[in-house]
Amino acid sequence: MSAVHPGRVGQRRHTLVFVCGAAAIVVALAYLVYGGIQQGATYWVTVGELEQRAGALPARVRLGGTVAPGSVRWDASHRHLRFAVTDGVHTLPVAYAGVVPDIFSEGRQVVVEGTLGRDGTFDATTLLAKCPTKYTPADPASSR
Amino acid sequence: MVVLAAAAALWVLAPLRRPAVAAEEETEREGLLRERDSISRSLRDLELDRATGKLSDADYAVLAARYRARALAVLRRLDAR
Amino acid sequence: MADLGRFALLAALALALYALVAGMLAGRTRRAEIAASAGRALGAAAALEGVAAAVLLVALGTRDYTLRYVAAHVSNAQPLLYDLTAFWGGMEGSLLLWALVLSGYTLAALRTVRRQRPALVPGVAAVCAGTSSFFLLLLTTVASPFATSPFPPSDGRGMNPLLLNPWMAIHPPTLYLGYVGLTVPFAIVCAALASGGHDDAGVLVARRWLLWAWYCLSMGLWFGAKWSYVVLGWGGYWAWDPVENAALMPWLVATAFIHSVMIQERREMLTRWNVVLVILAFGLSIFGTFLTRSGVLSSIHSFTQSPLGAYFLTFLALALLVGFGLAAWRWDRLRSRHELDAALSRESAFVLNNVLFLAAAFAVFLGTVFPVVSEALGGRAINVGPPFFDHVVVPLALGILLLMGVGPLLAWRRASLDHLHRQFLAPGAAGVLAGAGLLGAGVRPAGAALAFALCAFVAATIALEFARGVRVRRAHRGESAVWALGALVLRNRRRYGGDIVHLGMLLLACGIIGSSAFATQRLATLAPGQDAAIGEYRVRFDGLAQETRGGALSIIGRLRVFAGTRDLGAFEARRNLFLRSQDATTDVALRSTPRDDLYVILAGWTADGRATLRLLVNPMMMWIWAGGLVLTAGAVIAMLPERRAAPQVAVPAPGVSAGGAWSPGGL
Repeated sequence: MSAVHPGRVGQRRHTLVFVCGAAAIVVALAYLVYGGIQQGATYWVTVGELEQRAGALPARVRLGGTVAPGSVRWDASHRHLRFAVTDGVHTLPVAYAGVVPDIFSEGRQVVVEGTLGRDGTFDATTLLAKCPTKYTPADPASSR
Repeated sequence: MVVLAAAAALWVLAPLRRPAVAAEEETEREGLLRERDSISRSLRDLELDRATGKLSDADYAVLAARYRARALAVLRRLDAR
Repeated sequence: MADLGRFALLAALALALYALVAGMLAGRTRRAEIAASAGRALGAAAALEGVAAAVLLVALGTRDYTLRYVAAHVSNAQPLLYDLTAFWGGMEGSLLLWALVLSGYTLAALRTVRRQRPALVPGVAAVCAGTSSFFLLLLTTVASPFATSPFPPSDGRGMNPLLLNPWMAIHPPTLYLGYVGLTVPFAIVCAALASGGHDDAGVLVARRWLLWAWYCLSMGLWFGAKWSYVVLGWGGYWAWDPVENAALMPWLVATAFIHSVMIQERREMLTRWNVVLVILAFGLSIFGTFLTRSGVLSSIHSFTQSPLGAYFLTFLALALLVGFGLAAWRWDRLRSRHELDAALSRESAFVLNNVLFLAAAFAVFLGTVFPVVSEALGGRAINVGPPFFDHVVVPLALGILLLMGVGPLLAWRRASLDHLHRQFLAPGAAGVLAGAGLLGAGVRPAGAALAFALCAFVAATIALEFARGVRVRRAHRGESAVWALGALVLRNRRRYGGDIVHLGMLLLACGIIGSSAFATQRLATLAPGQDAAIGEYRVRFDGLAQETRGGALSIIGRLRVFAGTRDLGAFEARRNLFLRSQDATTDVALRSTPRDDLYVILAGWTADGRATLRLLVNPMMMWIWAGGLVLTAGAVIAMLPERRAAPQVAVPAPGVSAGGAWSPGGL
C-alpha cells in the first residue's frame, strides 16, 4: 500500500522513477538534437564557403544569401530568372527556371538548391525565399 | 496641452490626499476557501472517475476517505474563524 | 497632428513611470491610496495611448505623407481598409498596438485582481507599468510612429502587396493579443511572489488570463498558416521560419502550463514549476518580438546597427531577473504540499506531457537561435533549417499525441492495473485495427500509417470519454443521448471543453500527417488545350488572359479541372505583377475537399501562349482548418466563466455518500 500511503520508501521510489524518467528524456532529446544538427547543419552554405570549399562539398548544395540589389533579370517569357546571391562579400550569379515565390525580391534572403556550373553560374532547381515581413525587420539593408 | 497635462496630474494624484482603507488582508481565509474548492473538485473528479470505471471501488474508498478527512479539517478551520 | 501623437506618448510614458514607482511604493507600504493613484495613472496612460492611436489612424486614413510611417505603408492606390490595417503593418505601429493592448489588459487585470486578490493590485500595477514604460520608451525614442519628414512625397510606398489580404489583416493583432496577454499572468505571479502570503503564487488567478493568451496565440498561428497557404503560393503552410517559431515557442510553454496548472489546482503540487512556466512564457513573448524586430537573425551585424535589439535584450534580461529573482526568494514557500500518489496516474502523465512540451519549445528555440549562436561562437552562421526541426520536433509531437490518448484513460491520483486494461482495450483495439487496415490497404510510408493509427487510438479515447459521461448521466437522469451530451459538456465545461480542444488538435494532427506524408506535385508546361494529370485530377489549360487591376498586371491561366470524366468546373491561377514595386503575388487555383486540395500555381508563361503550371495535391488540408474551428469551440466552452463551487457541494459527510447518488457534473 506504499503507493496509496506514500511513506518515505514510496516517495523515494517515486522520486527515483521520475529522476530516471527525466534522465531518459534528456538523453533522448540530446540524441534527437544531435541527429537533427547532423542532418540540418549543412542545410545551406554561404557564397564565400561555396567558393572556398567547392571541392569538399557535394555537387548538389543549398546556397543561402541575399538577392543582390539590381541583379534580378527576367527573360521575355517570364520563365527564366537570373539574379545574383551575395553574402555581403562574395557574389554569385544564379540561373533559375520554375516557380518563383511571391516573397522573392531584391534584398530578400533566399535559399537556392542546385549545382555550381563550370561557368561559375549556379544552376538552381529550387528557390526558397525567407518569410516576408509580417514585421518589417529593423535591418535597414533588407527593409528599406 | 498644458492644461490637459495639469488636469491629468491632478486626477492621478487626487487619491493621495486622504488615506484610503487599506486593502483587507484576507489571505488565510482565501487560502482555506481555495483549498476547499480544490478538495471538492478533487472529490468530484474522483466520483466521475469511479462512475466511468477508471478507479476501482477499493481505491476510491481509500482516496475519498483521505480527501474527506482533509475537507473536514478545512471546514472546521473556516468555521473557527 | 504628429505633435499631438508625440506628446500623448511622452505623457503616457511619464504616467507609466509614475505608476511603476507608485505601484512598488504601494506594495511596500501597503497603502491603498497610493495603489489607487497608480491605477489612475495607468488609466490616464491608456487614454493617452488611445489618443496616439487615433492620431495615427487618422493620419493613415487621410494619407498624411508628412509622417514617415504613413509614407512607408500607405499609397494612393491602396484600398482604405488596408491603409488602416497598415497600423500594424510596420514596426512602429505594431509597437504602438502592443502598448495599447497592454494598457487595455492592464485595466481589465486590475479590475479582476481588485475583486479576487486586493493585495496583488500594487504589484500587478507595477509590473504592467514597467512593461508599458519599456514599450513607450521605444515609441518615444528609437521607434516613433510620428517621425515626420521635411519633404513629404506625393505618394507613399504602400505595404507589400502580400500583406494586402484579409488573413494578414487579422493575423498580427490576434497574435499580439496572445503575446501581450502573457504579460498579465507574469504580473500577477510577480505580484504574488513579491507580496508573499499567497501560497499558490497567484498562479490560480493567472490561469484564466493565460488560457486567453493561449487561445489568441493558437488563433494567430492558425491565421498565419492559412495566410501562408492561401497567399504565399508555395503550397505549404508552415516553414519553420523564425517569425513562426517566435510565436510557437510561447504557445508550447503556455500549453504545458494549461495542463500542469490543473495539478496545482487539485493537488497543490507543482507550484514552483508553474511559476517558472509563467515567467518563461512571458520571456518568450518578449524574445519573439526581439527576434522579429531586431534583425538579429539576418546577421549579427545588422543587429548591432539597430539600437532596438539592445533595448529588447536589456528589457528581457531585466524581466527574467525580476521574475526568477522573486521566485528564488519565495522558493521555500512554494513547496508542494502533497506528493504523487502513484507513478501511474494522470498527474504523472501530465508531468511527462509538460516535459515533452518544454523539450519541444527548447528544440525550437535551439534551432531558431543556432545561426546566431554559432556565428557568435565560431564566426560562421550555421543554419540548421527545416530538417532539424522535423527530425527533433516530430518524435516529440508524436509522444505528445500518444499522451493525449493515454492521459484521459488514467485516473487522477492512481490508476489501478485491472481497470487500466479495461480502459485501454477498446481504444487500443481501435488503434491496432486502424494501423493494420491502413498498412493492409497499402498505405505507405509505414510511418504515416502508424501515425494515423495513433490518431485513431486518441480519437477512440476521446469518444469513450464522451460516451462514458453520457452513459452515466443517462443512467442517473434518464435523459436522451443528445440532451445528456449537451448538458454534460455545459456542466463540466473545463473538462469537456478540454476534450473538444483535443479533438481539434487531433484533426490538426491528421491534416499535418496527411498533407506532409502524401503530398504530390509536378511541373507541366502546356499549350492551350493540353492537359496534365495529377492524382485523380486532370487539369486542362484553356489559355492565357491578361488584366490590369489595382496597379498590378495580372497574368491569368484559365484552367478546367476534371476528376475522371466528371467536370469540376473552371479555375484561374493568377500571377499579379506590381509594376512599381517589382513585387509579385500569386492567386492559386484551389479546389478543397475533405479528401484533398488541388492547388495549381501559374509558374511561368511564354509569348506563344504556353503556360508552366506547378500542380500539387495536398491531402487532408481541410482537416487542419477544421481543427482550428473545433479548437475554437472547445476553448470558448472551457473559458466560459465557471460557477464557483457552492459550499453545499463541498463535502458529503463521511460514510453517507460512499455509494450515494452521483450526478455527472454535480452542482
